[in-house]
Amino acid sequence: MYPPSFDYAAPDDLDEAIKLFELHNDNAKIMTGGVGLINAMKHHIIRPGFLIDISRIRELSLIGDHGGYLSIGATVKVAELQRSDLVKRNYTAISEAAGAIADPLLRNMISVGGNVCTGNPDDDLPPVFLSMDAQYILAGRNGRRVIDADGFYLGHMSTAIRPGEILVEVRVPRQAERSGSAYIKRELRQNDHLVAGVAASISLEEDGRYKRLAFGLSGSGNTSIHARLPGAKFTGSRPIDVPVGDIAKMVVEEASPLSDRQGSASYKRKVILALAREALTLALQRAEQGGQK
Amino acid sequence: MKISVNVNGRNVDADVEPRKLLVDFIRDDLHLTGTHVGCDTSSCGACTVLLDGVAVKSCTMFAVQANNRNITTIEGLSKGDELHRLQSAFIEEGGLQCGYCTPGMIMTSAWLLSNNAAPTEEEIRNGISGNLCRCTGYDSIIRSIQKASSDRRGGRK
Repeated sequence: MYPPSFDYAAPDDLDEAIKLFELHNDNAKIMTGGVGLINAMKHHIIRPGFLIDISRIRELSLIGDHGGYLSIGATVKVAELQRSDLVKRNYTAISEAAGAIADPLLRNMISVGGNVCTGNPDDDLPPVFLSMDAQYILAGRNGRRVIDADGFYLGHMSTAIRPGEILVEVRVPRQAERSGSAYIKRELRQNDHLVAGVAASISLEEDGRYKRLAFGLSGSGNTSIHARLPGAKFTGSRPIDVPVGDIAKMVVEEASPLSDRQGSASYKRKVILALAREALTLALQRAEQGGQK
Repeated sequence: MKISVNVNGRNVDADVEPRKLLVDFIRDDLHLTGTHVGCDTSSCGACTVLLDGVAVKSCTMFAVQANNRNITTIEGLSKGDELHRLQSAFIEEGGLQCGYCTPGMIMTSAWLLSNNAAPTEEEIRNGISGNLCRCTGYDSIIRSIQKASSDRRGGRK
């Protein structure tokens, strides 16, 4: 299976990539890992005339602790994100979502940028980044622009990225003391398309009350969903006073799953309810154990 | 486009169309036909090769992406006539039926063992979850990988 012919460049410098993208913007695509892109090209779903492979730009390939935030470069492979001790320890749900993507071989190939930028509602990293109030850094000819993950996902395969812009970095605010997170996804068979996935990210006050609680959903609508209602309603409550199931019910209210081969919409709502309970319970345990800083 | 790759220890300079898939470059241009094409849609893993020592599916990469990098295919695992211990283990444990998935299974296993010399059965099952065997001979494949890993630990089964 072959895509139509195209031209290819793999600059090792970001400015050069931006210039090339501007020059060929009407029919160029940015390639990071290339897995989603190449499959779409092989099926002739998209036919770019020019591919700009940014995987050789070193500054985009780093994971770093920058004090106030975790910095993840756009070309970091999701296998590396899954394995990173820093990520596992302090941003557990990110590691879990990275490990939930595709299969071990494809995780060696798929990049953070591709998983974040496509706008596919089934992608695993966006719900976690939404629940952690992450920001995306976009670079273009007019410099850099910071956008909240919260405003990034507009619809099915549609994001707020503008023509000529390249996602270069994801920034995740440092998780407070007494915070915990989890991402759980349900598949009917291993490596199958997901039924749904839920990310929970919480932090607690010193006296144990909810300081912050947020959820992100995959496979639960036409794009990645940030479920904010529970945070607005239960911040300041003590976990012991609010049944986990009550919070999970509010999460489901924000989902609008579609019936498809993975199940009917009503089945998926039940799955999302169960996953929300599980993810919140796990995040709460992690926060209370103080295992995640 | 001109590319330069190291394949199984040999430097290769070639002129390829950007749309040429890495697996087709390996099979059609280099005539290394041990790497197979199964699904051609990144599901089955029959095309698995090592890129700088890391297992990847070569049907979902263009050859140009491998420029200036090292590729190891199933042909590069043995040293002359001396089989790699994974190859011997697959023979001894009957880790193949039709053999179509075998090169991919072995390349994935080589990567797996390079990161984890003594994986548990669960780690092996997860590790090869991107490789499909349609004869469904998974149990013997897992035994083969276990044998190769215990061979490395001094012949203990």
